[in-house]
Amino acid sequence: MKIRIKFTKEASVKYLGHLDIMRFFQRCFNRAGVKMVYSEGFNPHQKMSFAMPLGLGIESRGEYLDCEIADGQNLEEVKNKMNLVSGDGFHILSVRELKENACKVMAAVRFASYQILFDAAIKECAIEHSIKELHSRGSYLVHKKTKKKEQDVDILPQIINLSYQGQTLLITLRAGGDQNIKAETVASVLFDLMGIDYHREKITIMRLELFAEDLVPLEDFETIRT
Amino acid sequence: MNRKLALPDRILLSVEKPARYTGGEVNSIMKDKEHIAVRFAMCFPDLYEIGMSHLGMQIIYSMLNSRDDIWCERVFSVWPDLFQIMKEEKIPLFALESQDPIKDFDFLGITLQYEMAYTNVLAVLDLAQIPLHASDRKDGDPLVIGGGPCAANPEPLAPFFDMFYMGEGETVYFELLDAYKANKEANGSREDFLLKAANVEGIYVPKFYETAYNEDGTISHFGPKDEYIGLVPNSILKQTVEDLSDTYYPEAPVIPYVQATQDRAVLEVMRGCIRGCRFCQAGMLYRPCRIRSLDFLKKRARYLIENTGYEELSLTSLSTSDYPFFEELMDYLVNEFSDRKVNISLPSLRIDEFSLDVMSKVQDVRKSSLTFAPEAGTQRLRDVINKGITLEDIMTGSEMAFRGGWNKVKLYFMLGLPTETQEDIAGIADLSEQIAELYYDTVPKEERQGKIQITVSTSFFIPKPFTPFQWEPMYQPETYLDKAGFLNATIKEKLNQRSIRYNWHDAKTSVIEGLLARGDRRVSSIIEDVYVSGASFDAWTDHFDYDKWIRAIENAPFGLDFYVYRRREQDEILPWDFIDIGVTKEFMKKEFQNALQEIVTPNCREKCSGCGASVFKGGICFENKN
Repeated sequence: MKIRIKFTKEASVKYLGHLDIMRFFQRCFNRAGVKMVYSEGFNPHQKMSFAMPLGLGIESRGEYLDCEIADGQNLEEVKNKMNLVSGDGFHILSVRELKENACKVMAAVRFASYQILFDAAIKECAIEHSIKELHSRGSYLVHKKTKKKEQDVDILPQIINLSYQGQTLLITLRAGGDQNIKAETVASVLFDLMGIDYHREKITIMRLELFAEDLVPLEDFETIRT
Repeated sequence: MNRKLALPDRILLSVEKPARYTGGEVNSIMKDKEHIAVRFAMCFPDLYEIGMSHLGMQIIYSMLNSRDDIWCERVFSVWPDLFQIMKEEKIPLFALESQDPIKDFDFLGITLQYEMAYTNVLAVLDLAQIPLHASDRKDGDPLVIGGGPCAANPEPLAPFFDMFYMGEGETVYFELLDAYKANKEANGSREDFLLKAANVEGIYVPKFYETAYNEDGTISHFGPKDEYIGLVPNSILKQTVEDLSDTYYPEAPVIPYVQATQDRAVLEVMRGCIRGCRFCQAGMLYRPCRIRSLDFLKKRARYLIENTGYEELSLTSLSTSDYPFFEELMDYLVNEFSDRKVNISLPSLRIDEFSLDVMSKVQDVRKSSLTFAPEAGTQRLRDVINKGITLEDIMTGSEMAFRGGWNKVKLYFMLGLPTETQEDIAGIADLSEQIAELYYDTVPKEERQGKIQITVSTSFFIPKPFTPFQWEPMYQPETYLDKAGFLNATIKEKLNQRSIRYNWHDAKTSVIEGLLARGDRRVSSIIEDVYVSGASFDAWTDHFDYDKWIRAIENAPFGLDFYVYRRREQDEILPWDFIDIGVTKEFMKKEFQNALQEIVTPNCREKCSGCGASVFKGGICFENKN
């Protein structure tokens, strides 16, 4: 049975890299007594894939992983057993069975939403003003460097939603495939517009959710509700 | 529990692998510090990945935390990138669990597993903002206690420690910590407590002892200072666990998030070794050889796998093949874990039919390699060092293994052993060639999975305290390199030289290790000078700076000529003589004579040689007697 797990990555586990998280889940499944399906071959391993890597230092309440477990296990029980033996900061939010022929989790991702908190020293009205300024622009180019190429990218088409309320910035960005800008990039643009030097420690980022097409949260996309 | 980290995002996101410093791992233990009487910081003075691979630390951690009034937390060395930031910003070193500064703890325990970590010990104290010298510490400072195998010669580190614990941690820690609690409740001073501690068996408090020297630099007297005569013991008795099947074992060890060097569950099947290899310090220090019962191990194996979720279980000891119930244990483990996808890894196995059969069950033959540690290239020299393995053992084992499909062989040797000749060195090349030829003779062409791959590694022999070779000199680094060069050239002349890879250890590191291993209290000033000049992580080849060491040694009254290159007299007072490891100096002397006469001493199971370890009333010394 193929399943999709939605989990959090909060507090100190935000410093863990991708491989650390994979090892954590492998062992968490074992401790919880979840019967996994292993790959064939000389070095059998659990089959696991993650939706979208999260930068070091970013928390999340909407992480996803797909994996295959042996048939006949109660998914609510799987969730509860995993939470009993999980680590601080990793909380399993939901475990759902995937529909047959569901597409790979990383291929399903279309959007990601984030919450950004600013350093208390930065004035609310300045942030509000910079957001208005950004909205008023027809385009906003940032220089983007990848392993393969360097280019200027217009970030405005990538931003689906951007709102600021109660000192919290909520943004929804296009994600997956080529359409990919970081939440941090949007924050740094706002700093530019405010005329303040950007430093990573001036913001706290939390990923809230990952969505498939039509802004359907991944936990509801091609999964079976029980 | 939501823990506040000691370091802000700004710093954590600017250093390599920040999760080394954030704690919070599965099975790590949080307590409410308001209800704790003794806070103990347990330190492995190297990087997190190394320290978290160490079983001893997990044993002490779980043992101390089994008491509600004690909270034991972990601390490791900080990598230079973060070290620099913490120094600049004056952030004190903290424990992983509570993230509190360790200078506020009651105890800082530092495990001394290898000499090349000594500068890291000073780095830990320095970064913790604890005075480097015990004599400068005041009532509120933590009590710094050292333990582990290197504590067997504590003198080079003596000024930096308030106490040393001799031997195995399971025995007197609670007695010591209870004495501390009682002293605290009675408003006793640091001095009061140390005097009590010095009377706990196995605890050495260096400040109560002094050394006098002869003009030639050798020791003329070691003992309690005049004012402490009669108040503290003259010699310190090593601690051993009598019954290893009735003691603490970490059933839910902390599981590191950052991948540890040894990333698996560890089952210690026995402690000590029945074989008396004459170069091996562990073989003497951990006498008598004691086993854990089959029942104990089966239970612990199950708990370990259930509580960690590891997919690999490693059986460990100094010589696992000597575990008397090895076959039963392996049968059980293979049965119990085969459907759970748990691999069993078996370091330190003697190669025979049974072990090959087991290995083919639990490992991928095509990927795994056979390991032999003959240590010397000729039978003569193997007799000198009392390494029981014979040419026939190696050849028969290899032949069986080649038939079973193995084609990778690792061979470990030492260069610079006592009485070594060029012939002995050439013997290493001969042996490697013989194994290669055996492969081609044994395995028909059509069945060969590629060439045979032989890897020869040599280290340089370093005489260690409490071994029959403790009086022996070492060579200069250039001489070691000549030896390695000669071996390399000899291998290159062999028919199958393309199948033999040779690598050797760093000679300069070996010489410094030799200095630290057999130094006396005066060597502490060298260690301090080297640390102050910026050295740390000497165990890491890229970080080891020989020139720094040489400069510090040049400023000391006695250097390498005295401590390392000199043959010591058998009647000389050695810096570690006041420590009683059970095994007697007389036995060491007898064994040294046996070595020179190439006489093999039988192992403890065959025949008792009367080494002295029977004072500990346990293990192999009594195995056949009840």
